[in-house]
Amino acid sequence: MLGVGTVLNLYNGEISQVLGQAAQKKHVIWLQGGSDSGCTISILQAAHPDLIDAVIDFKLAADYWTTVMTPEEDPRYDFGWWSAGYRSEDTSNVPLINAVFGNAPVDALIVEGTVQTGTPKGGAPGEYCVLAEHEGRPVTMWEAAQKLYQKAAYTVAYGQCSAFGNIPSAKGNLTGSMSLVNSLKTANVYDSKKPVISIAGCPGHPDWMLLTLASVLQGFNPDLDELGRPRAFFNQFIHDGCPRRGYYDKGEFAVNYDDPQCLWKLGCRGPITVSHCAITRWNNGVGFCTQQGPMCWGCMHPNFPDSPAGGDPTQPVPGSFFNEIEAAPSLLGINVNTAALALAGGAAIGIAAHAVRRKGGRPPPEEHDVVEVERE
Amino acid sequence: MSAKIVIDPVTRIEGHMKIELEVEGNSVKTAKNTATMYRGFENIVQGRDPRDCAPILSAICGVCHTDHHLNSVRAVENASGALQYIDGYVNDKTDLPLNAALNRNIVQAANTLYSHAAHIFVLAGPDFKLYGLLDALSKSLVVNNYADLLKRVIIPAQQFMHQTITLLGGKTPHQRGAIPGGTPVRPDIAVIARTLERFRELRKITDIAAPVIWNFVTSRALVLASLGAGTGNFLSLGMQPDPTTSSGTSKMPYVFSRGVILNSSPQKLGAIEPFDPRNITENVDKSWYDQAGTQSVFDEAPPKPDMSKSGAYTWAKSPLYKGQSCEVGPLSRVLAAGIYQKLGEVIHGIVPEVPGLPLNPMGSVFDRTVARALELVALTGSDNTTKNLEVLGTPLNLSLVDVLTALGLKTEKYNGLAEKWILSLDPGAPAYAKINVPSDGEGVGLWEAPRGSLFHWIRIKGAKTDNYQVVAPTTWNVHPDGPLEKALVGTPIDKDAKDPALGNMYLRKVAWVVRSFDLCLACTVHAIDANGSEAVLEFP
Repeated sequence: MLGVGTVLNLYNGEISQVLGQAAQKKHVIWLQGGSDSGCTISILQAAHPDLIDAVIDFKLAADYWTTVMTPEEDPRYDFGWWSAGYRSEDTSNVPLINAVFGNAPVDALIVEGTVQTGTPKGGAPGEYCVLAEHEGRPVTMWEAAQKLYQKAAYTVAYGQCSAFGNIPSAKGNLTGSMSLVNSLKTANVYDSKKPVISIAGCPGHPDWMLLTLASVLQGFNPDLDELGRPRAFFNQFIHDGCPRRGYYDKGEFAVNYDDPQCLWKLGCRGPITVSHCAITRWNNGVGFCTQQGPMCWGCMHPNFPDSPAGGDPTQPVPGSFFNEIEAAPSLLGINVNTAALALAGGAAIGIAAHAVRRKGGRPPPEEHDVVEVERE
Repeated sequence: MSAKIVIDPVTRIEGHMKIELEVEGNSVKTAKNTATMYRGFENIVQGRDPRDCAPILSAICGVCHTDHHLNSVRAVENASGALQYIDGYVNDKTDLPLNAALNRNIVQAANTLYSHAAHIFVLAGPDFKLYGLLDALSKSLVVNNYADLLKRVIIPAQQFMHQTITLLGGKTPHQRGAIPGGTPVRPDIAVIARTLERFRELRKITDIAAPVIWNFVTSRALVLASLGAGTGNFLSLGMQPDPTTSSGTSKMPYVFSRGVILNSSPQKLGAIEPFDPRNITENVDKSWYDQAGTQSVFDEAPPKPDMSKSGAYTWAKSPLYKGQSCEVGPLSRVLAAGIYQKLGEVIHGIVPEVPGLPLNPMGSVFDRTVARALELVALTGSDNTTKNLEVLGTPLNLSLVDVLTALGLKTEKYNGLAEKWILSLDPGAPAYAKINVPSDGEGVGLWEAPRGSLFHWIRIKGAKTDNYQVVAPTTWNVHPDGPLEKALVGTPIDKDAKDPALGNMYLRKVAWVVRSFDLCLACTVHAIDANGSEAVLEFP
């Protein structure tokens, strides 16, 4: 439906290069901005490949990654940071400073968290997030992200915050928090020929991330959709692979949150949210939200947590996650002109099909106005 | 002559922190810790459906990714009357189905276990050269280097717990297994079996690793106990309300009970006193907000970010209990519950040189590390009856099972608290009961995250979130003049020091002190208040 491109080209032998032993060390900088470190924790959950496979086989040198790096001269503990200049607790900024202001090579930049571009009273632009001190002045996330994006061969926005802004950028935030791409555009440094690869989701799925990273570190450009997401992992609605789909097809809907039927009427966002959650599943494939019980909260939807919550995004306070999406006027009425919601077109077709199907299903259908949106 | 050392960023903690040390001679004279990132969550939930706060506030922290979600749900349930704090905040009473109460305990146990394992191995472990585990495990497993240890032991250990949370919560980080009224996850036999299996796998790892870590840490007990003395005030909001006693969900006692210890001296631990949320206040004198002074946590007027304020140096506010700066975390939990002292008596009976536990009544690197490891063993249980535990190199003739028994945490029938709750799940029985969220009211969530006490408060007006307040664990530990700054003062620094086993010691003792608190800066600076409004304190 959305194209058959893949991160890894399965037909001409590239996959063996991508997943095989890399020839030389690849330098990676992992930046955390307005983040909760959930994506760092998520990457530890990677299963196929796992993080150690990535480090050893892909020759990934994590020159800077604050949550795991250690100033330990024993080479058994060095995944790149010691070689990059981290020698004692008080030189933790050296690998970052060398990458941002010096000559240290950067093959891939990974960004976790939003970029805060606001100026606090008495502070400098972007000073809501300071990464390090350099020559007595603060280095902000915004500054580091701009410089490293321009320098790095590839940039991956890992997780919903850096991909789409997520909760720190939601209605009510005071910090000028935004996605990586928007912060680069605000600073006039974004180059559309050098797209940011976005692994959406709160958190980003670790297997998708490492496969994408493996791909770019070997120099293969992933096939991306219009929002920068690798099509290999973002080319169908979660609803399409939902284990409850059979109930939906029969028109059987859950009344209570712990019922086994389709969760649509309780607020499930699976029908409008694009990703391979239902295929890869989570945490070594043991399950995912609608399989285990919770509805899909739309954490990979470009407008999470505001408009997928069923609210009108032009209004100050978005609606509730517990609203049925079909009953939410904003979903089909207001956002159709935005690039983000172009993707909801597929869902609109699904909604239309759903409404038609329900007429013959059970329980007796309620009538809803359904607007069909064409995908451009 | 004093010298200045700046550590920015501090690594292997969660989030963004800078530490400035003024060093005189060979030790730290003053310490200033700065939280360097601000997001502002409580503004974002303002005006939203109270039930929507949980998934939004969950993103305060992706490390204790279960706690903010769960505790926000609890605050809403408290406002609805479905959760009540009874017997003077000692016990919980809930209208939720048993399956829901159990689900939360198992998820919370998994969350705590993964978090402790991640801290012990990945965050603090390298400072201790992994406690000699590499050598110990190379004899029994295929582990030759740190990468092997990570791949075969550490990553699987924390993955088992994440998989458990996914089985009971949908996905993780940021599980969605709790909503006001219960959980959407109705347990079936397959989920129960898979959950059980993962806890048992973790137990196998714990049984091998825990005695190695214990003996490494206790062999350095005197050095580690001399480092990192905090404020001597300890706070715990209670961990694991147990629905499997004879009174069921109508009266759930806490496994690690709620309580406060104030005014300890280096010689003597303070007495345990009951907790009351009305004693919590917050001060912003040294924080980058436009106000000054101390206010009740319930009706704070909304401060605005202001970096121009004189004397301010951090985004962290200062939470206080009865005006005192309190330490929170595993040590506070086992102290407030009285069980750590009990273990101390047992050890003192065997090794008279050890006066008892805590070794340092003001808190120390030793006590924090041992308390964290004890919780890990208590929640997983143990099958290890090998009597190989030592203190200061003296054999105790005790095994892990003996320690659990001494602490009263070894249930007769089951291994570990988590397993007891898993086997109490009722397959197919309801896990959710509809509750009515009031259109006007307020509610409190009292909870223990892995890193310590977590407090949520919501005021609901016109069926919308009118005001929300979060006091997170690390805020208690890293605020201006708080436990971490106190703990750093006096820490030895010697450019040339070497430890034969541990190598270069420059700043290593500072690192031990800092990481003993298991810091989470994202939680610390989560917020300013949405809207100050007068609070009437009546919690069901």
